[in-house]
Amino acid sequence: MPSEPATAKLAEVIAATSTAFTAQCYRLYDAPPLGALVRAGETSCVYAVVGNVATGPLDPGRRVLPRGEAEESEDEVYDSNPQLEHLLATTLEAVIVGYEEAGSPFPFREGGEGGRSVAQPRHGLPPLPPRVHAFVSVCSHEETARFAQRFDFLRLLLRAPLSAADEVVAACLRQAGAARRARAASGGAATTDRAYLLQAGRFLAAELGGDTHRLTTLLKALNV
Amino acid sequence: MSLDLSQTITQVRALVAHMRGEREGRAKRLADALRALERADAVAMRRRASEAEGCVSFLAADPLGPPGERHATPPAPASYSALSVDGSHIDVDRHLPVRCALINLGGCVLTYGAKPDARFFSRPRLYSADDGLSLPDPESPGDGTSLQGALLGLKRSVDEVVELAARAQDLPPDLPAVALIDGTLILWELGGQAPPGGRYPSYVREHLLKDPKHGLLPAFDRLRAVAQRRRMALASYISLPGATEVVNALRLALCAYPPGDRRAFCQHGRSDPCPCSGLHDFVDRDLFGRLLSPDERSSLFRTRSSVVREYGEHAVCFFYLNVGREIARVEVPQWVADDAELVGLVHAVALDQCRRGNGYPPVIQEAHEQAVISAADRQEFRCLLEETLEGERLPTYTSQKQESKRGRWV
Repeated sequence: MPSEPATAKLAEVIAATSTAFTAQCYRLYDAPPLGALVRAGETSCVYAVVGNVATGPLDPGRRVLPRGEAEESEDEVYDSNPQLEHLLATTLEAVIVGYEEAGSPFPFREGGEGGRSVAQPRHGLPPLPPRVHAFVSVCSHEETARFAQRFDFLRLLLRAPLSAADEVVAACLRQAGAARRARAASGGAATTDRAYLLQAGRFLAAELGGDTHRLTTLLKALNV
Repeated sequence: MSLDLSQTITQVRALVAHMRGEREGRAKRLADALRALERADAVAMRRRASEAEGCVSFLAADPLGPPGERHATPPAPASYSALSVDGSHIDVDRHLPVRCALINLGGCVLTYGAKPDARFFSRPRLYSADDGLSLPDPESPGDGTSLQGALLGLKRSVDEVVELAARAQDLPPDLPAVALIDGTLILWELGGQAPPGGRYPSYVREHLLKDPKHGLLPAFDRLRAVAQRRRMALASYISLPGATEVVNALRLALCAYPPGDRRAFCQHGRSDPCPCSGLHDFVDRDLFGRLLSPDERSSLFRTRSSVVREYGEHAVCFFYLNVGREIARVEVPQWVADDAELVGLVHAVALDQCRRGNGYPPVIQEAHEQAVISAADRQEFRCLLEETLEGERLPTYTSQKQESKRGRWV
């Protein structure tokens, strides 16, 4: 069971493996930002980080042509060609980094809002990927902050076959920091953004060992 | 590679060389034809076409106005809806394990202006021996004509209009609208002697044209009824038309011999000195490509096809339209042709659609995309049939020819 009301679903899984899934957004361009933590599935929830967002023709055999030469704004291109909303699609690729199973005994539990006991999501790969057609929604600040209070999930993200994995790691941590700040503002205890990012930096230093070039790039991207 | 291109190229070069040699003479003949069209009188052309009926094997159209007239485009409405339906089919195939056919109708409604919107739809219909694959002969129970080959294509054309009439009921009520069909409104095949064995039996014609639920003319009636409640026109759009009805009418008008004369209407070919002999190898779009400037339409003409005589108030009229990249033929029923405002709406919307669609109406293009059954879809359909039969433990089979095509073994 989700530990708090889920945000609105915005995409649906169209292909999934043990380590990643692809989801198609219900509305054109309505994708979560790069690095956002999302959840897929209702009863067996999988957590994943958005590693890539793409928009293109639904039918790969149909080439997109420029249409705006006579239009004054980009929005007018869409107004003048209302079919485009149906012929183009935005998809996201997400790297699976954790999961939460309904009815399973969890090793960690902590007090949730209002003293309610909530499940602590696991970091790591789930036994099974999400089902095709699983609903995808963006995790709330509360859920993101809770998931990212430990950093083990970053190991999967650092090793993911993404063209810009470090940018995704940095974007993910910045959003987790912002989520913690938002949670703190609403009354929960939290460290500051900077303290959180420093903790993340120490974890990355330990993980990346002698790869100082990559570590430096990542720390610069985190602004710590 | 099975086609020997090295042999083909020699033949192609010879063909092109012949065309190059003809170019100058052809340009002069076209200029003469254009002058003749501009000078032609509509009443005289209609009279001549009427006199020639039965004497000639070709069709000549009746001009409804000065045949060389050009009409500038009226402004397109700020907001409008365009509706189109297209169809695709899988024919009866003896290599399939079940005798059946499938018609897929697809279409879309595109709305422009203050509230832009797009709606797509598609509807497949399977015809089997027990369900509609045969049109029964009412006078001979047990007999019928199978829906396959050219007749299935005809049935599909009629179904497209029936679906168009159904979808037209749901168009946004407060906007002008054009319901567009890809191709012609004329069921040409009902007018000739096809298929082998002669014209279709009368009950087939009755079904296709007059069946209250599935027939063409009742569907036209329903579209006409919608158009009486709101501003809507019905039209069809033909890209790169090959028709010669206007050229033929001009041939008849120019011919030096009276109708019925054995020398009349250039039947002796190009060596005949008759003034009409220079037109024999032109199509209508050649003439209107020279006559019309971009965005202009021609005068209206009415086809004299024998099929259309049964259409009544839906008798098919047409005009040619310069959409910039080509000359298109736009067909409308008589009740649209009689209403100058509706003709203007069709003219403006057809042009606006071509402008939005790089030279071809996007509403027709998207309807086609919804209707088309791709090669992969056809293969999926075959597999679906076989799997469903196997699931019910019913026998499946295919021909060894089909197996050999599928396997392509060496």
